[in-house]
Amino acid sequence: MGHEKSELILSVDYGQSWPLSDIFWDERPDWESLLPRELIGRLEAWARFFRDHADDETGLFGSEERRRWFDLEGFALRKTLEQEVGDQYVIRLELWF
Amino acid sequence: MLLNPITIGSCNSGLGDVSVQRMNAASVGTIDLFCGDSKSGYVHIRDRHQKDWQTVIDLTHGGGTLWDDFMVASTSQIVSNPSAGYPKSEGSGKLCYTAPIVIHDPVTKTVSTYHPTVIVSQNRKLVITSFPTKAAPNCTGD
Repeated sequence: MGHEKSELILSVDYGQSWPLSDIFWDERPDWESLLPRELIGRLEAWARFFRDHADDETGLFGSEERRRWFDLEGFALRKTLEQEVGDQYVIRLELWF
Repeated sequence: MLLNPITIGSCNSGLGDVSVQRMNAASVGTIDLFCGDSKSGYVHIRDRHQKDWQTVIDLTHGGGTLWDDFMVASTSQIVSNPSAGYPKSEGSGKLCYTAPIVIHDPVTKTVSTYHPTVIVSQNRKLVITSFPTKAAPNCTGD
């Protein structure tokens, strides 16, 4: 019987500086040992981009180019996370905004 | 603190400017948790974080509490009496609040502590979001 993998949600809300759902977990993974530093930086930058540009009044990013970058970077991050830790987690991307 | 079902019905009907709960927030004064929409307020929190708040409720083995009653009570407590050093500015007129919320499990006799993250619009005096982060809040300045 195989080990059931935990679901890790890639998503960002206002105030989130780290865009993975382990912020709700009792015990968080040691990302520094699991992920390349460059990927950690990209995850943090993706969350920062949302905080800097997502307007909760208008539901807009300020331009379609920004929205496209945010969505495409989200897809790319999911793919890279699957490559890095897909053996341990099921990665789900939620682009809700 | 029990939410009025009629108020929640208004939220379900799409009335975004109905206040679900009025609160007193440190550094800001009176603020509201409005019904809002998918981007902010009660509806946003329900869409994005009901499951997260329910996980906390489940630690009390039910306890007879609904997720949103607990969320609103916790959020109100956090913004009125935040931890030292909070609120912190998130930029763009947003403030980040946190305070420890202690959960007692009556069955296993265990105690869990959460540090939820609450984001408030300082200019519009409303709650944008609230989610139960575990070990530490997720404010930008942390």
